[in-house]
Amino acid sequence: MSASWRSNYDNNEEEDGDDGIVTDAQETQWRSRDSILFVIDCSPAMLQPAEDGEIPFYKAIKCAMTVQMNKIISSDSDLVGIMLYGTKKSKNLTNFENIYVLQDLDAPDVNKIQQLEGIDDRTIDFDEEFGTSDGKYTLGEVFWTASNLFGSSAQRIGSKRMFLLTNEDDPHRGDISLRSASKVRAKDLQDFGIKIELFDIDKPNEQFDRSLFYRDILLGGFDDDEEEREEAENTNAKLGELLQRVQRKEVKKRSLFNIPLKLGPGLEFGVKGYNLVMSQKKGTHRNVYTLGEAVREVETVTSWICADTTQYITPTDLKYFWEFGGTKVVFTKEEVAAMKTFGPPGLALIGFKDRESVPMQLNILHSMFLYPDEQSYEGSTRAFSSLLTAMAEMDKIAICSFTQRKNYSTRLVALIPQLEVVSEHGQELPPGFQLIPLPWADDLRPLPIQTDYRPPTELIESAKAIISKLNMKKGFKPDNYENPTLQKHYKVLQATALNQQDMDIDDKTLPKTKQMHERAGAYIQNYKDVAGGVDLPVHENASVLTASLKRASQSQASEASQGSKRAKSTQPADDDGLRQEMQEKYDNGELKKATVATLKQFLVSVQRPHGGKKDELIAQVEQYFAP
Amino acid sequence: MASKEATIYILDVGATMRTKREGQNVSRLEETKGVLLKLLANKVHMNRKTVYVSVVLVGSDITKNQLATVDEDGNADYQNVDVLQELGVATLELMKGVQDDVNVGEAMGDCLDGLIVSLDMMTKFCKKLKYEKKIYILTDASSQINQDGTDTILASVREDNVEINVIGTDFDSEDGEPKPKTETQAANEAFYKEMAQGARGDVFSLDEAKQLTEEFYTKKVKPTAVYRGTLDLGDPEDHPDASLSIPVHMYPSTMVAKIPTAKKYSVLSENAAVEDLVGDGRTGIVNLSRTYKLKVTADMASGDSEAEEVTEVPEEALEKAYMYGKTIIPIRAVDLDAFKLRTAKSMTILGFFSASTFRREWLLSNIYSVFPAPGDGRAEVDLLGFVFALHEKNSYALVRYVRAEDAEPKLGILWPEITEEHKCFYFGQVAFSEDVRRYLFASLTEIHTASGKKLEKHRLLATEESIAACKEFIGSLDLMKADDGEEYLKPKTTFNPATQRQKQALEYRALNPTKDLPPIPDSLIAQLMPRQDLLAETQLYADKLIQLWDIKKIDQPQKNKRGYGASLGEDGEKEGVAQTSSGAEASTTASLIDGLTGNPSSKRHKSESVFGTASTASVAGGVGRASAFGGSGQTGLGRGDMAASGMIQFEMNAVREIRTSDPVKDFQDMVRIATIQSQQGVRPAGAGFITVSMAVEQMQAMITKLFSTSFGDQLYEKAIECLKSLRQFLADADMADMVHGGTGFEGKGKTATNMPEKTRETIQSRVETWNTFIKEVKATALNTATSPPRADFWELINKSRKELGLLTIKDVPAGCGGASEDEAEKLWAETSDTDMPLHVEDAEAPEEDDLLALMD
Repeated sequence: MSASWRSNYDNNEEEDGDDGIVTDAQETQWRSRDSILFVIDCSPAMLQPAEDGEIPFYKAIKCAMTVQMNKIISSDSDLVGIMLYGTKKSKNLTNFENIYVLQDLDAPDVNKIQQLEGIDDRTIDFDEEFGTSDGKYTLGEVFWTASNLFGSSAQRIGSKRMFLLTNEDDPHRGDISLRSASKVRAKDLQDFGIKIELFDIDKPNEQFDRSLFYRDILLGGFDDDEEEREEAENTNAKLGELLQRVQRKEVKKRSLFNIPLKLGPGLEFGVKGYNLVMSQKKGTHRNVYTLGEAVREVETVTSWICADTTQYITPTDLKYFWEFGGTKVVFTKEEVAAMKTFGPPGLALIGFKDRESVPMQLNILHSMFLYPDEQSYEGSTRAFSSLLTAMAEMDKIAICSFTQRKNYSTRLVALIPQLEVVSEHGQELPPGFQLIPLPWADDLRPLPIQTDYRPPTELIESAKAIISKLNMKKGFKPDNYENPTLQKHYKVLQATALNQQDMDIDDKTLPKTKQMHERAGAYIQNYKDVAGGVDLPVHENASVLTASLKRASQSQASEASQGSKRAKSTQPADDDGLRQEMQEKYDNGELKKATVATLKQFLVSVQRPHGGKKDELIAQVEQYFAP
Repeated sequence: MASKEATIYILDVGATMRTKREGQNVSRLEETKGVLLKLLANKVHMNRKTVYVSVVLVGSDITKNQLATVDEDGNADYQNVDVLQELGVATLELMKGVQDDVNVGEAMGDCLDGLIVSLDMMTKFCKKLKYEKKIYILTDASSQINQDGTDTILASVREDNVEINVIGTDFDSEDGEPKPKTETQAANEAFYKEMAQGARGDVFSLDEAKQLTEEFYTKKVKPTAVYRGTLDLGDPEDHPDASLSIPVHMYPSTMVAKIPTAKKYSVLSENAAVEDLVGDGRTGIVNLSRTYKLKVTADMASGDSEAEEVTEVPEEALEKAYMYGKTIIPIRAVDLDAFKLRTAKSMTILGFFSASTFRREWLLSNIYSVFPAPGDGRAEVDLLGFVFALHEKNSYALVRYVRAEDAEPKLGILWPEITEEHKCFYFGQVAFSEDVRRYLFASLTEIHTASGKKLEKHRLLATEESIAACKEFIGSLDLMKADDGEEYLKPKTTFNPATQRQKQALEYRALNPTKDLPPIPDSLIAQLMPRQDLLAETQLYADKLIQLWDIKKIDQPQKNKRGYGASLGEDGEKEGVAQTSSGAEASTTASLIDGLTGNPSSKRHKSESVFGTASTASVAGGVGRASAFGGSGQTGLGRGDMAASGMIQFEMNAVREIRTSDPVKDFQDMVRIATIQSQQGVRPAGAGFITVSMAVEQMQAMITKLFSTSFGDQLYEKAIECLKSLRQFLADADMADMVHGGTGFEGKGKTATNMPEKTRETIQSRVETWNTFIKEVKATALNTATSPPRADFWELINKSRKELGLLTIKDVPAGCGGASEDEAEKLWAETSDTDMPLHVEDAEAPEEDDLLALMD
């Protein structure tokens, strides 16, 4: 379940007839686990406060803690381990000195986080528990121990990465044999598929110089199937940005699909697709049985029974039907699957458009990100890069039809070029195409209300003053807003697990009303005063909603054949939407879904009896609408 | 629309409908029936209880209607008018009836009779209730129309708000040539036209109607507000005067129109004999049954699989639990509710920001529109002030949106929409911090060599020439004016082919249950294909790109994997062969290691999960490759085939791990495979070393387990054998050398001078490994804290002290470490060494389960 987003798919799996279709969520479940081993230097330099008073070692511990907590939310089956080196005390299976395995590679857990919290808030005394060996350690043994930790993990691991946090750019200075031994071990690690990610930290007044030692260790490593090229390397080794750097690498980059982009006959190259933005959901609940000796997890066994013969049904004995005019119209599973498939996986270019032709209001699903795939087509990178640059310079977007993978439905999408942006903090935007799914006409709803009202300039100016006062200078950045629902959920779980009382969270999405008032209160007041003096707009037809809707729908090509071309607008002016809602529910047989309160409210409004239980209320509503 | 609909179709089946139109091979009636069926199908698709239809036949041999009378004089009214179905729900039965049972009559019918019958039916059915009332007349307009009382009829039509449309087989199309027709037809056409126009309807030629019914259409959805509340700004609690609270309604603006999900249908029911059916005959209904059983956890399973029977638990006894990392946390439903984040229904502005700082990929899903509450002039003024202000300042508002009380808060942005007709905000949900993945991708424009030099030319870098060629290509394939000067493929002109296909298939199968589905019509997928006319224009530029880019499809990406890292700093010209082979090596090595350690690549992993066949297959794959490799020294390509055949599966299973049955053999096999691999593998740095060390580690663990869990001295002998085997391996310098692919020396007595540094190091570490381990064994065996004591095992080792002692400097090549003679002798001293660390906690405590497993 790692490296991608969970969805609530599990809940409705049974109701979904599309067995042949692989959903993102299912795919996600099959993903193997990622593992990260933090390897933290405990030499005296790491324990010296930097200019800003922060101590590198504790910063590193905080990073490890943050990663663990993030993993709990995003992918709780990933493995995280922590190993200290340069410690006075030792704890490892091979009895190497100066190596202390703090946490084996395992799924993140409450106790592990607590342990880190303890180190962080100094309730676990560093000197007493670990101590520093004053720079004495053997890096080769550190790497060896790391490889043993990966090797001995019983879990099946997808990716293995070692996060090395140190501010020593020249270990074993002068000792050629130790240095070469370290390099050999590092090579062994990489041959074993373990990627070393170096998080270098500047010492005060001394920049970390990779060329002294680490460059040789980091070069030439193959990273399993994923990225064949070293990512844009960060040249910045400031302590203050350590957490940010670790977080960027925290989730193993993993592509979602790998398909050809066909520009025309005989002209195609490979692209990989990634989900960079997608709604993160709460983990799905599990069922447990708590009445036994211990809490035991419960497995749900789902089976299908033929109502007519009361026999169990195997998947091969299943067909599918839709109700059509009161009759069950039956199809085989293959026929159903074939209805939505219109070609093999791939992106087929149809042509280019101006960027403005796909405004934000045409959004329908989350975007994806495309990057060249040199491994499936040789020459993809150059072709991709040429197209990207050309489109960006011409400010054009590409329209393609897109089938993500076999048996997936096909959609039209827009590819928006995005050039790389690098700042002093490293890569801000990766180079590639943003893939924006486009809506079909089927997915578009006309704007329901028309007006030709234009507020007076004075009012607009007054509003502009408020906007200026409450302007967020750096704009909106998702990083600043944690999802309060998720935060609360995991806080409650954590508190329950640890028997803590504190379940409050800091909801970052709440408006800062006090500051807002201080800054703009007077301006808002002014806006209200100005608005109060404005003549209210007059609309001849009070029922704006209904009238304009009819007009809007006239533009539909097929209206004539449907016969509703000249619909009349006889909706009563006081139609308050509630009626429509009820009518709709009635028409679709969904009255049961309405709340009792709504049912009552409606019955009151149409002066019908509105007492009794829900069933009785529904009966009343049905009676009202019945012909 | 959610209002009620009543539609009556009057179908002329008079004798003249038997004839064919020019160029057609079916009769006018069949053609017209096709249109009617399509109109009916559309009603059926709506699947609504309040859409009523009726079909009335005119010119039928049957007379069946409520107005038909025959007076005493034999004057008959409303003859040959047959109401096939009174106003009722549109069903498949009705469609089948029209398709199969409606035939041309002998007589000629008067459509005006049909109309009057229909109007009568309409009035009685709809009474004074609100209905959308429509009548369609489908006719060839050949029969005489009794025009008496037309004015009265039309007056009542208007009064009742009935819309009348007429589809005439021989009517003139709006922009077509006049069609040949009889005088009567021409006169009737004019009459119908006047009537339809008087009744808010229209006339259509059959061809127009056909075309219209073939056109794709979308399901109309009534706009229903998803949020009726206020849009707030400021601090309404403490400063109500200085805050805004504008009543707004929010409607979906885009929303994925899903194809209804097909339900399961039981084939068993289809095939069952009548006597096997229970209940209401053949319904094909499939019921879901859920049972719950306790999960058997891994540690329980390994204990005694027989003892753990499947325990079913009732649904009522279940509690919900969530995972917090590894910990499962049961939470009672009441608690869950109590701990929920409490929120109030609201939409609150958090601030404003410049549009240019926003990235559209942060939009998470579909879009909504936000309007002032309908009919609320005050709200309109208040809201539109901001719509215009944001527009002029080119800014967006960030809002916190809570759909209903205690619903999850969402972040969204509001941006203004101002057109002639509409003034509102759009609302789009945006990402939280948790929703964004911050991956890094390699630059496409900057490639540096190992020494840090930036490359200007590289096979991965775009060239000026190819960028220029791309621009020509892009220019030649512009869609902005490709549709007769208009933009081609505007979303509102594109239709989801899957939706249309499902509707088509459903209609077809419903009327033809036994036939195969027709192929997908080209018109359905035309919009998904590149347009041939545009392709032709662009060919010239495309050819140039083909030539410039010289893209090659790689058939076996796994094998010919090309390391980006390896390519860095290499000359583009030379890299061809060498590059490919080293790529192959790397991937082979990787898969081998994956195989041995049970870490198959993600793709394999996936398929396993699908088929539940666990890891044996892929593991066999890994070693299959290894064996092929070592055995015959094949070249890199084609190795996968061996692996795929799974022929070496048996051997593989034997060496995956060291097991109690024959640990010595397992160990030797494992070491052999690892050694062969690293010997044959071109990689010089000892790619197999880790694997060997794993074998050693497993062997060590096995030995400790054997002697410390042995029942009496039962397993001691086995443990001794293991020890001997382990020491033999660790002491063998040649083995160590092979790992590094060394070729320079043979036999013993070699010196460090002619030995590669790496080999020396390996030997040294192995010697140390043994020496450390045997000391550990001693410490564990002599540790009096363990129960039972294993001093007798140490005695046994003592007896083989020659074969199991410390490896001394005499035993190993010079310069490769080794213990001193004194130290070696000290091992056999009675008590445990004081200078040796004793790690009791590290020794594996015997588990009861393991003990039992070992005894059988």
